[in-house]
Parts: sequence; structure tokens; C-alpha cells
Amino acid sequence: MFKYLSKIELKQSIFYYLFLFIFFFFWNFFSLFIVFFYLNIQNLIQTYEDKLPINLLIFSETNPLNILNLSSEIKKIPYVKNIVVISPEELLEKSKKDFPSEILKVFSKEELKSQFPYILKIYPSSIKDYPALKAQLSLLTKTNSNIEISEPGFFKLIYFAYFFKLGFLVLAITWTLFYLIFLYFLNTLINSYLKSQTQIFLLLGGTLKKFKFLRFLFVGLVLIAAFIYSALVYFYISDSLSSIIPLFKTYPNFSQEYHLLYFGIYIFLTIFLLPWLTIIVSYKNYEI
Amino acid sequence: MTLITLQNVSKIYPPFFKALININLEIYKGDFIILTGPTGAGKTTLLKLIYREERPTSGEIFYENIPYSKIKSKELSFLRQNLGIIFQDYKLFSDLTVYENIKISLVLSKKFVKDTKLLIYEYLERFNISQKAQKKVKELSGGEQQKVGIIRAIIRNPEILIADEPTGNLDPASINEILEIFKEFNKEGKTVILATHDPVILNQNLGKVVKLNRGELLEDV
Repeated sequence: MFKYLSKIELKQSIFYYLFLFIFFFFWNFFSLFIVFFYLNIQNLIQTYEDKLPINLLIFSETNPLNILNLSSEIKKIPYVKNIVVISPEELLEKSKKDFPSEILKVFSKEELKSQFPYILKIYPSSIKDYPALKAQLSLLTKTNSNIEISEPGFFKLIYFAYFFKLGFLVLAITWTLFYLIFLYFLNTLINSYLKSQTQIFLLLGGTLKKFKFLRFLFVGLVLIAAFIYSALVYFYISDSLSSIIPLFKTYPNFSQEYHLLYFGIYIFLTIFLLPWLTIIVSYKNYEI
Repeated sequence: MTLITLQNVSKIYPPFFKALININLEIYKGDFIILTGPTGAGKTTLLKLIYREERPTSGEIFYENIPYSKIKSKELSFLRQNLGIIFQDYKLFSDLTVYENIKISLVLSKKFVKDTKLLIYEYLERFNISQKAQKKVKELSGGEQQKVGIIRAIIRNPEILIADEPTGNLDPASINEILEIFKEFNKEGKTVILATHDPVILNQNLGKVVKLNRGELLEDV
């Protein structure tokens, strides 16, 4: 019986299965890349979030007590997590090795020290508090011309990455919904294309169970094939990207158990559960 | 014993076309019912209601006193397994061969057959189309397709045989052959419901004639 029904199903709807293959090849490919970028950005944020302060440079200040007062004032700002004070002496010591020897001969230590500022390394509580903290600190620079703000060049990049991370989550949900809607419409389309044949089968005393099972089998096989091909392409490209840009890592990392678990759940959802659900829903109210 | 009862059955196709109006009919086990009337009288609609391709707009149909409205889809397949239906438009699986079309019907009827292949070929021989057994149905002529539809219905030896204009595309010899088969069926105590307006069949006094006109039951002779 399955042999005959398979013949009916495939002969009538081979084009739709081909379409499903192409669709899922690209859908899965982009899904894996969404995860790849999402996890790499998350990784990047975690690496740099606690390490990137806003630097406040205070020139022409010789009294450490004033610096301490300023530091405790800044600490009261709600977005501040921590402040590290670097004195001109420490800065000079750190920079000495990079100076040309002539400078060290010509200028005394005190003269050099007077050219160096106090640095307040101000760490925000969270990367998203960065603009608000910067706005508060800018007020200080406006009232005192000896104070300057210095921010690391790629701090902004990390800040935007934080929002990209949120954007990716929205994208992932939309992407999954797109897949679900596509599967539902594809199944409905095949159902309507096979309607007359299915009706004959039902009128002869058959049930929809066999058709549902066959559809699931064919859809599953097509999805598995498309998955294998697109995953191979993804791993090839992501490996190449990781070797060019060392900041990027290939995900999933099969040596990590939880990566394997998430990857397994992803496969179960996209190849088995969601297709099965859409098949069931598409056949609802189909009985005659 | 009442096999099928139609009680105040009406069928209206949206928006206003009244295909059947307030039909009351009782079909007993072993009846040979000839459903007749001009084209558009509602014969096919009435048959579709009996094998439940369509549902009535109002009224109720009973199968052995069980209302159709209470029959679940799983039970419906059991009911249909006991029916042999010859459709006016044949309703064959166009991509399958003659043999495969008949085998599906036989398998779905869940009747035990010792040698399926032999039985199918016996019927094909009887209707002179055994040489077409491995041909796809869509490659056959209208008359040959009608024969396949008839074999598919009768080979499962159903309790009720429903035939909708089964002789439209057949030659006189084949018509007589089919009528003989219908009579044999009926002699075995099985129920036959035949919709036709073919005078050759009507003149043969095969059984109870039920006349329909514009959706109304005119006489129940």
C-alpha cells in the first residue's frame, strides 16, 4: 500500500519537495550563521565587557586629595561599577620604557610627571549604561577644562554589538516563524494538489494516517538531505572565517557537551517536530 | 432490516441551489434500488450523501440506525470499506496502473483473498481488459476506465454496491455483463443502489425504482 501511495505522492508533488530542499538548504545555512554571529558576538561582549572603562584624564592636578574627592563623587553616579585611579607617577613608570633616552636625560622626573594626567578608569555597571555614563562625565569636562574623556576605539563597537545581540534574538524568532509558515503553506499546497487523489483513497475506506506518515517521511528525508548539504557548506565557510579572523570561533563546538545538546535540539525541532506539527495542522478538517 | 434511512434530508449548495429537498427514503438490506430522473435531478447528490462525500444541509441519514452525524472519521472508513462505489467520473488514481488501482481497493476493503493477483486478472479477463493491466489508467479510453472503476468496486465483494451512471461509456455487451453482475450481487442478499437514466436498464425491472426531479422525490414505486 505504501508503495502505491508513495507513487501518488511523489509523482504529483516532486516539484514541491525539490522546492523544500532548496528552501531548507538556505534556511538552515542562514540559521547556522545567525547562531554563529550571535554566539561570537556574545563571546566578544563577555570578553570585553568588564575590561573596557571610560578614561577620565585630569591634567594640572597635583593634589591627590582632590582626585580622591572627584573619584568618590563619580562613584555616586548610578551607572558606575568601579573606579581605578592611576597617578602620574604610575603612568610615568609604565611609559618610561617607551621614551627616547634623550628625553629622560633632558627632563627631570618632576618635569615629566607634571606633563602626565591622573587617569580615572571608570567601569560602567553594564555595557548598555555606557552612553548615560558618558553623558554624565561629559558634564564634568564642560565645567572643568583640565578634564578630558578618552574612550577606547572599539568600545562603541562592543556597545553596538550588545544591541546586535538583542537584534539577533528578534531575528531568530522571526526566522523560525518564517520557517513554520513556509512549512504550513507548503503542506497545504501539496494537500490541495493531491486533494482529488486523497479523496479517492478516503472514499475507498482509507484513512489519512498513512498519508500523514508518508508526508512526514518524505519531508523528513528531504530536510535531512538539505540539512547535511547546508551544514557542510556552513562548516566550511565558518572554519575559513575563523582562520581569517581569530576572534571568531566555529559553533557548535562538538567537543563541548552542551553545544552538542543544543545542536541536537535544533535538529529535532527543525527536522522532526515542527514539520510533524505543520503536517498535522495542514490536514485538520481535511476529512471527507 | 433497514440498512440506510434518509430522514427529511435536504442539500443546498451555497448560496441557494437546492439539490435535494426534504427526502425521506428507507433502503433495506437486499434491496435493488434504481434511482432515476433527468440530469440535475439530484441522483448523484443523493448517492454522495449516502457514501458521505457530502453532508446534508438539514435532516439525518442513518446507517443501521446509527446517525451519520455521530460517526467518527475512523468509523467512517469502516463504513466505506463495506461499500463498493462506482463513480460517474470514475475517480481513479491516474498515475497508477490498472492493476494497482484495483489492488488498492482490494487491500483497503480488508477482505481476505488467497491470491490477489489471480483474482484481479480473473476480473480483468471477464471485462476484456487484462492486456491493459500494467498500463497507466490515464492511457486508457473512457470506456476502459469505466470498466476499471466497476471492477474496483465489485472485486471487494461489498455489502452495498453504489453505482452512479455505470454504463454511460459502455457498449451493449458490457452493459449486459455488468447488469448480470449486479443481479448476482443482489441474489446473494447484497444491496445495490444504482443511479441511471438509461432506458435499457430501467426497462429491465431490476428492482425498486425511486424517481427524483429537481431535488424532490416523486415516486417510490
